[in-house]
Amino acid sequence: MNETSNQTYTFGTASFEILLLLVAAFLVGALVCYLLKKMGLCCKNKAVIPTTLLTTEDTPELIDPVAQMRARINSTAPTASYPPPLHSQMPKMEHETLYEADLRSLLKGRSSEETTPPSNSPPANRPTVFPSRVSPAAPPKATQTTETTIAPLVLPAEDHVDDLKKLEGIGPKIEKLLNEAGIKSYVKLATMDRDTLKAILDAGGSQFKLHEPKSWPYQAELAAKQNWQRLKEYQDFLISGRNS
Amino acid sequence: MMFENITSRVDLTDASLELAIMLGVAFILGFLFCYLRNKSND
Repeated sequence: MNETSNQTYTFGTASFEILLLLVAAFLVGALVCYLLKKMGLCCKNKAVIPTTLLTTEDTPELIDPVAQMRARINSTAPTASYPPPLHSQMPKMEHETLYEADLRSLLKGRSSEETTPPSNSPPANRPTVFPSRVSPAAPPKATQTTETTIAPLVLPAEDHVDDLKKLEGIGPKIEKLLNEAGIKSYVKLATMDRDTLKAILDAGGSQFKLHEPKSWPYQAELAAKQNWQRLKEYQDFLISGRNS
Repeated sequence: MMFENITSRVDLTDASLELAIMLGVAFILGFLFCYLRNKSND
């Protein structure tokens, strides 16, 4: 470019070209990021160590707690289905037996409720029976038998409202969203699955999309049983797993 | 005033540093845009 053209070709007149360069640089940056993601070098979540590579020499802080639990499950039950059920994602092995005891006591409680004769006019605060959990072949008046049967899950009354904010991951806004979706009690929340809760969160707006409701049903189950100590342990496990 | 100095500058070779900085910032912004978008989708 000669000197005469330089006198007319100022920075101002070149602004359009500079703008194009800036847009091109922006797109190149995005493209680089996309390619790095495709190559697996960036934008990935925390890597989970394959369970086949886990050994007893591994330091616990280097291993994801969920991966630890999966390794234990795989080591004890090689034919276990993957992904494991949510209730198996407990912090330590000794807790598994405790939680199993919790579940058994819950079933025992339900069985004792089932053996009590049903009254024709229940009081207003008496929980109603969740219909999908009731076995159609079950007789109306269950006789006392030695075999253990899974009792129907008992739901509280419609107007029963629990403080869902006590569960880890649920704040005032999410509690309001769940209440609007008809989930107001711990027992009701305990009957929900992760996909349904995720759909509710997605429908609530983009600000709820980052929340993961996987642990909420089990937390609600513990809260419904008023097993606050176990709930606290589970929440500590969730928090430590998130921060590690 | 600074914008006026830049836009009225005749010799564009002196502007190479500013241009490089602007392009670098645009590159980083593009990268961050893609990075955060992928993060939020995960």
